[in-house]
Amino acid sequence: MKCRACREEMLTGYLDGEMDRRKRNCLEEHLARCAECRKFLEEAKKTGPELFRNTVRSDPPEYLWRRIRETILTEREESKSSAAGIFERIRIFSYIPKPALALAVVITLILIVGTTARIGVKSQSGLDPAIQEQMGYFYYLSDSSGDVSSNGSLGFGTQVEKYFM
Amino acid sequence: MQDIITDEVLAKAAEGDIAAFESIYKATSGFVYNVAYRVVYNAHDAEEITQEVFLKVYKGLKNFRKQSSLKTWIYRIAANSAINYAKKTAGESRRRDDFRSAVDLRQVPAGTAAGTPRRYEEAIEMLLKVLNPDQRLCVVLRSIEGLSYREIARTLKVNINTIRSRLKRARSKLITVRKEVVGDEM
Repeated sequence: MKCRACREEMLTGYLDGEMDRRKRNCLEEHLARCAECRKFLEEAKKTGPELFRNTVRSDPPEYLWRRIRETILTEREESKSSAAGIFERIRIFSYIPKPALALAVVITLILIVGTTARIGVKSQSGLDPAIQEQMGYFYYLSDSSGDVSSNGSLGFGTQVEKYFM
Repeated sequence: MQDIITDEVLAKAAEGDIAAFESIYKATSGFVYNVAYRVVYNAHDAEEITQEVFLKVYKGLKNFRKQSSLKTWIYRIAANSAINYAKKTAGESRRRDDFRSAVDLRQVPAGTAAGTPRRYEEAIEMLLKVLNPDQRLCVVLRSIEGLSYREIARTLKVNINTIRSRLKRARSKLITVRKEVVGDEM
């Protein structure tokens, strides 16, 4: 093991006891014959867990739990009241007396049926003149065809026709 | 901790039982508060972080599926909240801290810094402040809270080699500044 790799291991796995036996043996063999690395290890030990051994752990202040509890309860109340508010609005909108609802439905249906029927009638009468015009044209043609049949020819009896025929 | 917080307590807390949640708080708040304090080094900020953590835990308990242990889950929230807070406020306090550290390093005579518990804590604070928030968190979790590398990696959701690397850099830095800050007393 070379000095550099050795020192890296010292700063982590070796100091923290997180090193497998094979690596540990290698490192200790190196330490036995390298004075510089032994010196480095002494320095490294002073920055490992040993340095922090006497640090004081303090508990969070008492009032902190009360503050957290209060916040939780307040938020819970707020979310309850906002949910209740939504339900209340839905309830107000859906509060219609039943006879009134039935009447409203009947009136709506009458209006829909009445409007549809009116549109139908209107559209029928609107088509009448066109149909009549077309029918008149067919009558005219049939009258002309009557002339043709009396002449025994297929002509339309026009001046141009007469000239050429 | 897992022994103290039974499945029943956990289930009740998840349903919103405040008394059950209090027992979770009592079992874990020491860790959360101390980690937060050591990362931000300000009691008021540590309280804020602790409160934020437990509000998140309370809300998240409904969806907690025991895929990780409760301890790891709470530790993760605490670590992330502390680190985010430290990074967010780093810009604001960097100038002040750099100035203060420089002054402190000159004023604390070598060999006397660790003489009293208060001096010792001040020296530890100065040393940890030399590290960046990620390195500081790793040192706190390993050297003060005593978590294993595997536990730290799970808590922070990073590779175990990343933890080794952060610790290595942190300790290299500490070797350089330790003598200036505390002398040979510690």
